Amino acid sequence: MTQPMDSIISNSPISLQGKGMKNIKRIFVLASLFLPYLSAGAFGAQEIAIRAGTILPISNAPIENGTILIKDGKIAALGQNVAVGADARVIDASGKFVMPGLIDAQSRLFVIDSELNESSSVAPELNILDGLDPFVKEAPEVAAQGVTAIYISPGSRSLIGGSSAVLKLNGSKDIGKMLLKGDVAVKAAIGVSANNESSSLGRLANYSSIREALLETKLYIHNKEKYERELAEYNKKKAEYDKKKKANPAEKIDKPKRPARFGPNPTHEVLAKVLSKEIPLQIEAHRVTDILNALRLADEFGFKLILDKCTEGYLVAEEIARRKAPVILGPVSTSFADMPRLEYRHHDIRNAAILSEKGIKLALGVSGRDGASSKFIALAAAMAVANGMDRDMALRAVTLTPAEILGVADRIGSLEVGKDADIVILSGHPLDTLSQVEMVLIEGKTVFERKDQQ
Amino acid sequence: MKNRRFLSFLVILSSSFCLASSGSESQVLAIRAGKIWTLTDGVITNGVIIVNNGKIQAVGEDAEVPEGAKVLDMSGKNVMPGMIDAHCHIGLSLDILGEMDETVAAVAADMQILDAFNPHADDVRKALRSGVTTIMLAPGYRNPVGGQPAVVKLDTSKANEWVLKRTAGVEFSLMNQALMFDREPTSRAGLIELVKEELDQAKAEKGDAFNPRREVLKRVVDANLPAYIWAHNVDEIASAMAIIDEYNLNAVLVAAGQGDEVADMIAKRNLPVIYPPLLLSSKDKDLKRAGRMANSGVKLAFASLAPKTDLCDLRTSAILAAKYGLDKETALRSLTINAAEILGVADRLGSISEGKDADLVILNGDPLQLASSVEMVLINGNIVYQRQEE
Amino acid sequence: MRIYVILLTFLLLVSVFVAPGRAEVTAIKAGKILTISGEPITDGIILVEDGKIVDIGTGIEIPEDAVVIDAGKSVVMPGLVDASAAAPVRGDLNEQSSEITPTFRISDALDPQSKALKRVVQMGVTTLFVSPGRQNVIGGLGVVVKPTGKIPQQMIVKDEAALRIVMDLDSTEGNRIPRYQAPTTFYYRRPGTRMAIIWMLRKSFFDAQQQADSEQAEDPNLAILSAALKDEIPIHVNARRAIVIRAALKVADEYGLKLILQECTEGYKMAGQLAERKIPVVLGPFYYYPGNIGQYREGRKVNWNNAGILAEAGVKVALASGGQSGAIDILTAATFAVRHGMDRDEALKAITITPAEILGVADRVGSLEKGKDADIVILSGDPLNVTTRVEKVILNGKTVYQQTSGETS
Repeated sequence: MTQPMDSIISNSPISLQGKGMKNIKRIFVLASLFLPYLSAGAFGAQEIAIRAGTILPISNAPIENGTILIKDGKIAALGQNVAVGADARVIDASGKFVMPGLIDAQSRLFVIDSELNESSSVAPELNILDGLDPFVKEAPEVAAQGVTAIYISPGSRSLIGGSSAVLKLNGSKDIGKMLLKGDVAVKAAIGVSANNESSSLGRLANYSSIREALLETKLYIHNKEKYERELAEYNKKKAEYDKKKKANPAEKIDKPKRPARFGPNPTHEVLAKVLSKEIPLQIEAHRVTDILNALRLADEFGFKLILDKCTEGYLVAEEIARRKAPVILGPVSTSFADMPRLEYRHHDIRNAAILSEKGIKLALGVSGRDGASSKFIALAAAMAVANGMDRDMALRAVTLTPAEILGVADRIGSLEVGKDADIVILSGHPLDTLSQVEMVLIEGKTVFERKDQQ
Repeated sequence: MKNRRFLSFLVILSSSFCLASSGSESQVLAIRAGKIWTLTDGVITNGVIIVNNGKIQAVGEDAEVPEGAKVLDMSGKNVMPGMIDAHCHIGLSLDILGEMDETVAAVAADMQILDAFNPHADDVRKALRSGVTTIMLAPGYRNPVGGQPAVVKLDTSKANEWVLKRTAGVEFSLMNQALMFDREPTSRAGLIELVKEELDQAKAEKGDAFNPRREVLKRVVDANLPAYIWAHNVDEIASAMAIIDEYNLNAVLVAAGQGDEVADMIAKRNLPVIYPPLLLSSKDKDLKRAGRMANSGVKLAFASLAPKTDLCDLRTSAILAAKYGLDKETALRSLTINAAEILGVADRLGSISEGKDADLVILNGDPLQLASSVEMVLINGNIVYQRQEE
Repeated sequence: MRIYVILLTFLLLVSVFVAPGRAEVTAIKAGKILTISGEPITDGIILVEDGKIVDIGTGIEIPEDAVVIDAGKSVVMPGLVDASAAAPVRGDLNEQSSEITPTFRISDALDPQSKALKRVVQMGVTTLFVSPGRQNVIGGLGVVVKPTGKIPQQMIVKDEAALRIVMDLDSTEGNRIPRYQAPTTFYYRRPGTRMAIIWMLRKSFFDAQQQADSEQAEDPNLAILSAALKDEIPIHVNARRAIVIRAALKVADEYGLKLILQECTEGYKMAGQLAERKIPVVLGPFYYYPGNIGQYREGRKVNWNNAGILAEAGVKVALASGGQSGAIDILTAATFAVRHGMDRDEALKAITITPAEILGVADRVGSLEKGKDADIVILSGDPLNVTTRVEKVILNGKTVYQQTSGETS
C-alpha cells in the first residue's frame, strides 16, 4: 500500500526537493500511515470483540465472562482468555447472554401465500426462491428477535412442490444477497390435500404417485446412462468412419446410426439428485400412516429423508429413531396454526420431548400463521421445555440441529472458530421469554440494535 | 336377636361407606410451597396453604398445619390461583366452527351454550393440564345477537357442581363476521339496526306471553344481565360504546384487540375487556396493544378463544403481553383475579385467599416463564392433574 | 444589567408558553385566494382560530404568536365538497335482506381507518356525502362527514342528511324469479324491471301516507318515508337515462316531492325541465372513456358537456366522484367540465359551495368566509389545470395532508 517516500520522489518527473516540499512530504508520510486504517474501515476488516457475561456456544458448554473475537465476518476466537487487538471495536455485553443466531426451520417469511403451491402435481423443478417478495415489512421485526436465518420450502398442497432454501436476515432487499444455501431439499407432502383431509384412498394415491415419480426417475437415469454410452460408442464409430471415408472415399462403408435423441427432463433431473443422495427429500407427514409411508419410501429408494412437521411422530417414535431420520417438528403448539385443522387432530404438545428423548435429531420450527411469526421461534423452544424437552436440546433444536439437518452447519448454528459471526446478544437467557434482544450481528455486521425505550 | 345384629351390621356398613365416600374432601390438605402468588396479598415465600372441604382455610408463612392433614411438599415450586379463561369454545362437537354459532337466524338469544357442551369431551379432559381451572364457555361471533355464555369449572366429574353460572349474560357481535350474504344482516348498518331493534323490543316486552328470547334480552336492557359484545376494530368498538351508552347496558367488550386506540374512552366507561390471544397476530404493533390498553386504565382478562388457540397458551398471552410492555403484576392479574371480577365470580375464585375455592396451579418455575411446566392442578381441593415424570 | 435582560427575556418566553387559554392562531398567506363566495383576493391572508376562519382579506394584522403558513405564489381555495363520495365503510353498502330499507343509516357503518379517506384528502376533498349503496330501491339515510377523527362520531357533520332512492336498474341485480322451485333465499323478489322499481316506490309512499293518516302503530321505515314526503328529509334519486329521469320527475309530481338528482348522465336532454322545477343535480362518476358501456351501464348517449348545458340552463350543478373507485376525482372533473364547455366560475362552485348547499351544510363549508370551518386547500396553481397538484390540505384548522414525494400510501 505505501511506498517509501524516497522512491516516490525519485521516480517522479517533477522535482520534489526544497523546503516547501519537506512539509508536503511530512503530510504524505502521516497520511500514508493512516491510509491502511481508513481502507480497513471501508472493507470492514476491523476486529470486533464481544465481552460477554455468558456465552452459549451450543456446540460446547457455556463460557462465563468470555470474549468472542470476530474478524472478516467470521469467529476468529472465543474463550476466557482471548487476545484482543488495541484497535478492535469492543462490544460490552457484560452481564448479558451471547448465543448464535436463531434459525426458524419452518418459516413463511418473504413467501407470498397465494404463490406457495402449484396445483397438486409433481414439480420438483420449481424453486421457492422464484416465489419470494424481499420487500415485506415484517422482516426487520423478525430479525429484531434474534432470528438470523430462516428455512423456507414450497407449500404442502403439491405432492412434490419444489426446492427449498436457507436465507439470512441480513436486511438486504436482494434475495441473492440473503441466500445462504439454495436447493437444500426437495419438498414433498403425503396426505395433506386441498381440504386438509383426504380419504384413505386419496392418501394411497399420494403415496403411490410419489413412488411412481421416483421409479420413473430410476428408469430415466437408466435410459440417460444408456444414451450416454451409446452416444460415446457412436462418436467413436463415427470418428473411425470419417477416417476411413477420408482415406477411401469410394469404398462402401456402413454409416453408423446416431442413437435416438434423449430429451432431458427437468423433473427427473432433480429427482435423480435425490436418488443419488445429493439432495435430501423432505416429506411433510402428519398422520402415523403417512410418517410410516415416508420411512418406507426412504427404505425402498435409499434417499436421504427429512421428516417435516411429523405431527403424530410421538406415536411411532421408535420407528423414526431406528431409521435415524431427522425431524423438523412444528408447530410445537397448535396455537401457532390457523385452527381448527384436521391434520392437527392428534397433535400433542409433548411431541418434541418424546421424539428428542428417543435420540432423534430434532429441529423445531414455528410453522405459524404468517411470515412474521418466525419471531416466535424462541417461544416455541420454551414451550417444548415446559412440556418435557431438555433445555439444552431445545436450544440446540433452534440453532445447531437445524443447521446440521439443512447442511449449513459449516457456516452457522453455533459459536465456533471459523463459523460465520451470526450472533445474538440478549439481556437474559434465550429460553426466558421476558429477555430482550439487545443486538444482532450477521457476519460481524450489526443488523439490529435495541434503542432504549420507555 | 338376629335383627339387632343385622341392624348393627348395616349401621357399620353404611358408616364405613360414608367415611370412604367423603374421601379427600374431609381430609385437610397442607401445601408447602416455595412461592405462593396470592394475587391479593402479594407473594409469600416458603408458605403454606391449608385446604379444607374444597376451600382455602388459611394461607400464610406461618399458617398452622392441623393434625392429620395430608402434607404436599411443593417447596421450590410456585403456586398460583387456578387460571380463568375468559372466553373459549371447548367441549362442543368435532365440527367446532359449526357448533359455536346458531347462524341460521341472526338472533339466538334464547340459546344456552351449555346445552351444546359435552363435559366428557376429549378437549375438556386435556384442558386440565393447562392450569386453567374455570372457563367462560361462550358462543361465537357470527350472530349479531347470540346465545347465553356460561361459567363452568373444568372438573366436570362431580355432577352439577361444575356449573357456576348457566346464564352468565347474552353474547352480541358487532364484528363483520356476523354478516352473511344470505341472511339478515348483510351490512354493518343493518347489523346495528337489528341489534337496536331487538333491544327496543325487549324494552317494550311486557312478559305476558312465552318468549324466552325477549325475556333474557329484557334482563340485559335492565342491566341485570351483562352483555358480552364482540368488537375488534376501532369502528366496531365505537359502535359498541354507542349502543352501551344509548341503552345503559352493563357490558363487557370481547376480543377488543384494537381497543388501545380508544383506551381512554373505554376506561372512562369502566368497560372491561376480554382480550384475544396474542399469538393471533405476529406484528410487534399488535403485540404492544394489550400493554397500552392496561396502562390507560382498562381492566383486561385474557382468553384463549379455544380452539383458535390452545388453553395451554392462555399463559402465553400473558407472558407475551408482558414481553411487549404489559406490567408483570397486571399480566398475572389478567389471568386470574381480573377475569374473576369481570365474570362476577370473584367471591369464589381468582386469588389464593381465605374462604375462596381451592383452585390451584403448581408450577416448577415462575408463572411468567414460558418454560415453566404445570406440575399439578387442584380444583375444589381435588388433584385433577398431575404431571407424569417420563 | 445583563442579568435583568436575561431574566426579562426568560419571563417573556415563559409567558408566551405558559399563557393561559388562548387558542393557537394560524395565518395563511397566499398569492391568490379563491373565496368562491366573492371575488378572488390577491396576496391575501386568512386567519384561523379554533378550527374556524376568523378573518380573511388583504392587509390583515397577523398576531405575534400566530403560526404562519406562507403559501407563496400558491392558490388557495375552500376544501372541496364531494356530494357523492366513495364510502369509508367496511362491508356491504346495502342491507340486502330487503329492497326497501329507509331506516338504514350508513353512519352506523363508518370506518375512520378506511384508506378511502386518506386518498380523498390527498385530492383536496374535506367534506363528503356518504350514502347507502345502489343495490336497494330505497337504500336508507346518508351522512355528511369529514375525513377526520378516531371514531365515527367524530367524523359526522350532518347525520341523516338525505334519503337515497335508486331508480336505475342497479337494484334489480341479484334478484331472481322463482321458476320451477320454491324460493330458497330472500333474493327471490322484486324488482326485476323498471316497472317494478316504480311500483315499489309508489307502494312505499302510499303506505307511508296511510300510516301518517291513521292511528296505527308506527313502522319506523314508513315514518322516515313520511318525513321525506313532507320534505323534512331531502331525497336523492339516482337516475342516469333520460327515461328514468322522466320517471323520477313523474313520481315527484305525483307526490309533490322536491328531489335532488344523482348521476343524471342524460340530464342535458331535459335541462329546461330540470331548471323549471328547480331540481339540483349531482353529476358523476366521470370516466375518461364514457363510451364504454361497461362503466356507464345505461348511458350510451353521453354528452361531455352535460354539466355546461345544465348550468347554462340555470340548473344547480354539483360535480362529484360518484362513489366509484377508478372514476375521476372532482378537481379533475371540474377541469374536464370546463374543457367541454362549462363556465369556469360555475365549475369551481360545482365542487365547493353548490354541493355544500345541496347537502345543507353551506353554513359551515363550501367557501372561505368569516365564521365558516377552516377547511382550506393549497394548490400549486390554477385549480382548473390538470398540471396543478394539491400541496397542502387544512381541515378544521389543522394540516392533515402535505405533499412530500410522489408516493401515496
